[in-house]
Amino acid sequence: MLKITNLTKRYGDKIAVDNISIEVKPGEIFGFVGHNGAGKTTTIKCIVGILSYEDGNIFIDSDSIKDEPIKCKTKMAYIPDNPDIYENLTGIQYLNFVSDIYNVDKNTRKNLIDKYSKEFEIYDNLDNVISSYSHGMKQKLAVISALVHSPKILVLDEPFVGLDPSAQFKLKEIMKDLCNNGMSIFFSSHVLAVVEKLCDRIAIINKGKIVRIGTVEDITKEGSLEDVFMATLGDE
Amino acid sequence: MAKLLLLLKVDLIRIFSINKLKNNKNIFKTIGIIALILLIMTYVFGAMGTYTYLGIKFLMQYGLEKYVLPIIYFLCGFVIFYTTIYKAKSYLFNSEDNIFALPLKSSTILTSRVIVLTILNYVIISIIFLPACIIYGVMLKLGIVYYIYAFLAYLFMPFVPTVLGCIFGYIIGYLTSKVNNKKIFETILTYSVVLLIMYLSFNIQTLAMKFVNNIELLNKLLSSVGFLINSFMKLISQYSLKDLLIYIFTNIASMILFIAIFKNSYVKIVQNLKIENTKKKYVEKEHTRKSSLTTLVLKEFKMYFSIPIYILNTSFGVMLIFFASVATLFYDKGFIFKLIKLDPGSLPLYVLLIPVIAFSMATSNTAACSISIEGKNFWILKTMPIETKHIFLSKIILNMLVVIPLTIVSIILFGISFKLTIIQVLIVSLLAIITNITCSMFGIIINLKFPRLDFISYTHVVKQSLSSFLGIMIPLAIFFAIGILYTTLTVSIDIYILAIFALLLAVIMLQYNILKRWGIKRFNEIN
Repeated sequence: MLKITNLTKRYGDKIAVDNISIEVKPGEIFGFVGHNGAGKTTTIKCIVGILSYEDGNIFIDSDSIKDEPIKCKTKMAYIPDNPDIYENLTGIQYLNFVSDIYNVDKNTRKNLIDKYSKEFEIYDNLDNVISSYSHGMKQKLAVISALVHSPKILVLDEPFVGLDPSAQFKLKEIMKDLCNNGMSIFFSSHVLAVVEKLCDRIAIINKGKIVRIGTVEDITKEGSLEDVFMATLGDE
Repeated sequence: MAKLLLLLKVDLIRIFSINKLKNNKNIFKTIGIIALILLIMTYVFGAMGTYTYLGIKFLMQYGLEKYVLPIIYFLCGFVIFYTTIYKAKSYLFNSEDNIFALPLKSSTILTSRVIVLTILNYVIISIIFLPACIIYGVMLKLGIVYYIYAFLAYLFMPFVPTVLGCIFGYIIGYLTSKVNNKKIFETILTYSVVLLIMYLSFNIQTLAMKFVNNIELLNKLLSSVGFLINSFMKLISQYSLKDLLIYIFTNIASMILFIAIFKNSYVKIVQNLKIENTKKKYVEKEHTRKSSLTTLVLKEFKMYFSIPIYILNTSFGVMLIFFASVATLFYDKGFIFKLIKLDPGSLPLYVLLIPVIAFSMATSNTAACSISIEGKNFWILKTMPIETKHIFLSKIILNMLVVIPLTIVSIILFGISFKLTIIQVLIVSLLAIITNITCSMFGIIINLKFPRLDFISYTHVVKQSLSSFLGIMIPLAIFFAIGILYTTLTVSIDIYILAIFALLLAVIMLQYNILKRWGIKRFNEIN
């Protein structure tokens, strides 16, 4: 579903992402772990088409994001680490905006907006302007906007930041449920316990390079994910 | 005091993007930006010097040259006052940086922000007031004492108008914080001020003649505006030390008083302005499905009408033309000819509308900051499955929706006033539409070249960004050149208008190709 081959991204002379290769299969939850500045967000921004890259390629369902950006973006949804969404729109206007762009029919959007906004407990606030929302509510709205067009792959950058415990639990349940229905999820997180519990496979990135990649079972053979993560940093 | 200086340092670094300029590895780009700013400042400096020279020459005929500097002083003060009202929103009432969580007194925060506003206003007086003082001194062959007094007057000049602007901005802020629909209220309130200024501008020539004919009235007006202008007049003409001290004391005292009075309510107002009104409960309505282009246009439309400063800054030209067209229905049409100093019989009436409409199109360009205005939300457009050309098109359509309907109404009203034929109204309307498209496309190109997504407030991107400035000034300069070119040629006006049509269509084609080839690539590079 998502295939990254020999991706390299430079900012001037600095190499932010150095020749990384990752593959996420359909129905898989893939965790992307690394310390601050390791290259997680840069990789994610390359995947979703915010940043261009110099070498390598990224394929969404066998289409290159470089060559077929519109086709790739149609199959993908992205939730950034900071929910900067149009503050001047109301929640429902924003969800309808996203639905229109992704060509979601009336019934599907009604059902999905109802379902997810009630699950995340922001249904009653949908008529209010987003600028009146709390950080957590904006994050919830960003999550709903990503789910409303039923993407094939969901790319999330620190999705649990700002969510209350109940919303975190619901998001985890939704992620598992969606993957059971064939969706792929690629997400970064600093919450190693969640990554360990939720993911099928994990990659650890350090200084732009993938230092460990494999199934959760393989990686945690030597100890908890936290121990492995700290050891990986120590090796460097 | 140390904290105040620290705050000031941080504010100035942020506002003038000093770190960006310092860390810019492309030395040519940095030099280019500085050179462009200096060029613009030199131009305004020179233009003000020339106007002062002409003003003094004119008033010398009536022996009134001593009123030149007080009048410029008053006008400069008015400009500071007016622009400070705008700036107060972004500098005085900005709460984005969480500064209120720091262990700082509200008086320290307020002081630092008022000082920042004052520093910004020095730019205005340096290019308006300073050249006037120099030209005045040179023309009247004044000695060193004059220059010392003039420099001191310059040094303390922005304090009082800045404080007055802050008070007005404060009142707008206070009233806005009390009402439910803050954005509409703010737009109407600020537009009222703009209309008042427009009214005064239209009557300035009549007022000027009244002053020339009635010296008593001028003295009365200057003294009624305040003793500050009187002090200024005396210190600049009589070198009165007493008046100099009064002048300096008044300016400094005004700022201290303002801070002392408003420091207590300051935090509360800033907080109230942040509070958004919320409805009780979402009532579901039937969902409608729209095309992605319609959705994008609607998004642009909603965004535009939710940012008062965006509306004010980009609808000024078109509103001006609209009010002028309404005025022609009721007032003597001859004032237009007087205004543009033209013989009524020299050109067909509809031709005179063309530069007016061109001015309106150039000054009402929503596209020139339409990429920048996306700001932190830019990622949304970049990650969505939308053709970049549709994004550009939606921004062009917004400009057309904002500008064209009112312009067409204005042209029809002008048509009624000046008894134009339907064909003539159609020609001007068509020209307006083509000019609007040309300006919109140019606005997008210039904004792609000079994007500013990391702005602190909308004022920075709408009023103070390079793309907004160039997006207006370059088309204005080109239209002006086209107008001047006609006076040097001996072609018939019909052929000239046809040539303008052809030229605009060619520019549209050229810009279309630039947007298609370079624009899309550039859009994808911006992040």
